[in-house]
Amino acid sequence: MQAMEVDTDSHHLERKQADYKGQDERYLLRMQRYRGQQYSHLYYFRLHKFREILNTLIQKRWPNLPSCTILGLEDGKECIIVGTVYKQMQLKPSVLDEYSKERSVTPIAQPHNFMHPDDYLILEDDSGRVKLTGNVLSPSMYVTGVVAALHGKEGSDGDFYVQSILEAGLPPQHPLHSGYSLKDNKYIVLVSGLMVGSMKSNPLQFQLLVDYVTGHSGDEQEQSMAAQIVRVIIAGDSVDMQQSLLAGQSLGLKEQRRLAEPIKELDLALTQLAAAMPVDIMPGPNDPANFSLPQQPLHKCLFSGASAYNTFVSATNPHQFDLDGVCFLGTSGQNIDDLGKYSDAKEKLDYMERTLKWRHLAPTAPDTLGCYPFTDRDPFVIEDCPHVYFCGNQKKYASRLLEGSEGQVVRLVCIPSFCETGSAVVVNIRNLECHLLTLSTSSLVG
Amino acid sequence: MADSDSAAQIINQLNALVFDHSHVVSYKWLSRNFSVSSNIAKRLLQEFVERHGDGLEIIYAISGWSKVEPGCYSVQLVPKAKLEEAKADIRDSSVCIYSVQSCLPKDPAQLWSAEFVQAEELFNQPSGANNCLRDNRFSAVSYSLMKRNLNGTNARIGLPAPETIQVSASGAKVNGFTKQDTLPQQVNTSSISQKSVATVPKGAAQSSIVTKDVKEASAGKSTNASDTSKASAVVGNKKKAQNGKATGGALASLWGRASSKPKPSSPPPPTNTNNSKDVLPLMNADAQISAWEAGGNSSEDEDFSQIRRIQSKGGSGKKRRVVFDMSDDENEDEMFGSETVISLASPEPPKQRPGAKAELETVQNTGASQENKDIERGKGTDKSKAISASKSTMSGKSMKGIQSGQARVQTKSTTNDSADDNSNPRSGLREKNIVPPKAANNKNEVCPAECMPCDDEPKAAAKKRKVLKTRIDERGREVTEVTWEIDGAEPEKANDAKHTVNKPIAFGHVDNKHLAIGKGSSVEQSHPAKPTAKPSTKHTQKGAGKDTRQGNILSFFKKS
Repeated sequence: MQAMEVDTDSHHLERKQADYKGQDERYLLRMQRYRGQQYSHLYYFRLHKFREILNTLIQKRWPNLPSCTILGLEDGKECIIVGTVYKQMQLKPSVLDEYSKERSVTPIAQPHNFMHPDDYLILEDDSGRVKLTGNVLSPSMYVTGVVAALHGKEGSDGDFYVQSILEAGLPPQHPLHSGYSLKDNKYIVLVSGLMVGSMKSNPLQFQLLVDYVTGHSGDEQEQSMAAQIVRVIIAGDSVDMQQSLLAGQSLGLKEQRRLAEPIKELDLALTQLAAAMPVDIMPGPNDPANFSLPQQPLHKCLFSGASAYNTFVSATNPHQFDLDGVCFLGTSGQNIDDLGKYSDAKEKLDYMERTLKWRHLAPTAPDTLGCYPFTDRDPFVIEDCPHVYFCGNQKKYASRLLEGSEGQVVRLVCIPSFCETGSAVVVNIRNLECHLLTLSTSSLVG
Repeated sequence: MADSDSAAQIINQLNALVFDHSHVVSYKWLSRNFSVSSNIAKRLLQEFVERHGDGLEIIYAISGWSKVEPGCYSVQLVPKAKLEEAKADIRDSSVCIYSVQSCLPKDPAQLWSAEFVQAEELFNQPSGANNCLRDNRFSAVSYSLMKRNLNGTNARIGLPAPETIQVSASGAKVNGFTKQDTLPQQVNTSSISQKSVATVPKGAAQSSIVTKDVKEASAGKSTNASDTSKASAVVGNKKKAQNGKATGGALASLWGRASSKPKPSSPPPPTNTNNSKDVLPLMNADAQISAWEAGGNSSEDEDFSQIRRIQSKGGSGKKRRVVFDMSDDENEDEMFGSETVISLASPEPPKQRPGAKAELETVQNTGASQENKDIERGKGTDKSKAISASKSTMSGKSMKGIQSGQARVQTKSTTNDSADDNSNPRSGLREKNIVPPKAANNKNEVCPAECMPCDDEPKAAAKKRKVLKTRIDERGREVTEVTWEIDGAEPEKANDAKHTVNKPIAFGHVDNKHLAIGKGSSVEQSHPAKPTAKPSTKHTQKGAGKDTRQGNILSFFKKS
């Protein structure tokens, strides 16, 4: 009872709030029924959608050139064709490799990138396909599934000689903070790859992060910074599922426990977070969720503690939301990682930038990236340009401000994997500045 | 810090913890353990370091903008020796004590684990309970929009339940759960939570966090709500006793375990651990634990484990109910062979007709029970304190159903609704538990098997005897049941399924009554009610009690 009297704390802060609007409906599979359909619908809708977008752009850029279908190409006549890029890759793994007789010739599993100098591009539309040539188009940059308009003419041997390329470009963007006036700094914390329960993860580090954002740690100045954090986004790979246990056999009690332990630990941390502030958790490649994109929200039963809070949001994997008029869009990293396997860029941010310019979150789905066979739409087409575009589970932190031709401003963020770097990314939604938040316990060792 | 005495006291205790027990004391641990805010905990640590700094290893949390890596805000844990070095790399660094310990941990995870164990205890508290982990009350930053919604999360409640019960039981002599490992923590927890409730400033932060139930209670304070729940529980139990229809608690608990159906279990009982004012809950808890352990639950444990085994083997979704004697092994065989042997009779009114009986009673007793209840409530208040035993909210709930006169309230589907009503009657009562009624109810519904009470069993066993009962059921079949009767000196109690089941949990308080329960009569009484029971119930009965041969065949197929 005496303890009660000790508790006279004059210093108290109220956490800032931000208006949250979830935009995940388009990624939900709730209404979808799988009837054995394949992916043609998805490609069809993608092409159809981009035709609409590109046609207006073509009108502006090449008002005098005719558009035609691939089947309607005439020898030597300049024209515009719109179609889906297919990248012919000789190293691309195929499920059939496993059964091929010469499998010893080429190793089945390539390390991490399937690029080869001889790769070339093919353009497909609903009429036919044509091989693309010319120096304008570099095969290493493009991947299967991108839709673009090409200007050029048919060559002698049936190729299409590309003279210039028109991509959809950055989608139109709502004005920043439309309807809101932000005078103060408000921060959002992006973290991914917590991998609770894995050997690599350091639980103390995660606890420090939790303490920091919930306003426990530090002095008053630090706590006032913490009070400005309006939301935490956990972008995938939050738990380390022991895949070895899941061998398709029923588990003993002990194994079940081992399997559930990390989730419980995560739940405990999430409970602390959710008790203090809004938290969104997205599934990632290693999480107990469906494999194919869009990944559906982690089931609330997994988080018996945290899901009791109204501040706890279990989100889909491409996750999209508005926070005080700032549009966020991001994934747990699968789309960007897959681009990394099938195309080439200097840094991860370039991949992210490309997806925005292609207006497509995951062009390689369904080709090399698992994806639900939608029959009515392509949910990965980016209709509105986000203000913050993030990508989880990357090796290191990177960030860049991308400016579009029509005044769009996008903050690109690669969120480093927390279990490897101990870092989270903090984005100021007032001015889209961002910085790294690093929690470290390394001084304790040795 | 208003009271320097209390601060001094805490610091003294810290001294013991750190030096004598080699405990790693982090500011968060301190804050949760002594129910002070994080910032005050840091100051206490600071003070402690100033007074007892010698021979103490201190770990600081240093934070600020990194000079090494621009645009990077860094939070580091550093031991005292490296503090200056770390400071040099950080601009505008702020330094706080993170933890004190007698020696530096070799593995940083040790820093985390002490805190984690504590957090886990809080986390495992009954979901209805509000504690400092769940409302973040000790943080310097509060978030007013946060709400915990227990309503929407029925499903989740199942998990923590077993522990819940233990918590409740801890104060009393109850035991009998084989999960002893968790228990000590629980005890500890309960005392902590109790304290924390008591000490929570009723400021804005707190009120915003109040659970739904609390709100319903219209009493605005979390303490009230908890009190209420307990009080109502008391009422329920008592009434049970008075009605004289209760089945034996012990038996009930047995059967309760055997049944595969979700049964009402007791609600997270209030922290009854003790009302002691001791500032150091930990110590109390320890003492209690040891006492409790010394109390000898070993024999019981055996029995229970046995039961469990049986259950696990035989209980594969069969509806058959089996009654068996804990003491002899052959019964176990019987049970598996339940098909071949006669009826291991459907034991139990209690679980068997969860709804039916209640309904009956409801109808009959509405008026009377209401009165009882009122009386009880009054008593409950007094008594509850004196006894400081956990009472099951469950019983409270069943009572309520009766009281409210809704004939069907007891059936599962409606339970939740009835839960809402619960809070009202309780609001006036005072006691120290935190369990909101609703959560308790939910729990009962949802987490069946684990919660089964089993406590009184050992005592009861002494006086049990087997009784064969034959009667004609509603379809005109002859039903033979083997039941266990307890010879009881006292009048039997009232009971509906829930009551009976609950009882064991509410045990510490109810004990003698339970022992005294005359079982047989309750069985008989309950039968009439059966016809109204839910289909599943009927089924059960059929299998167990009635035509044995047919039962055999069916069960054979089921088995395979």
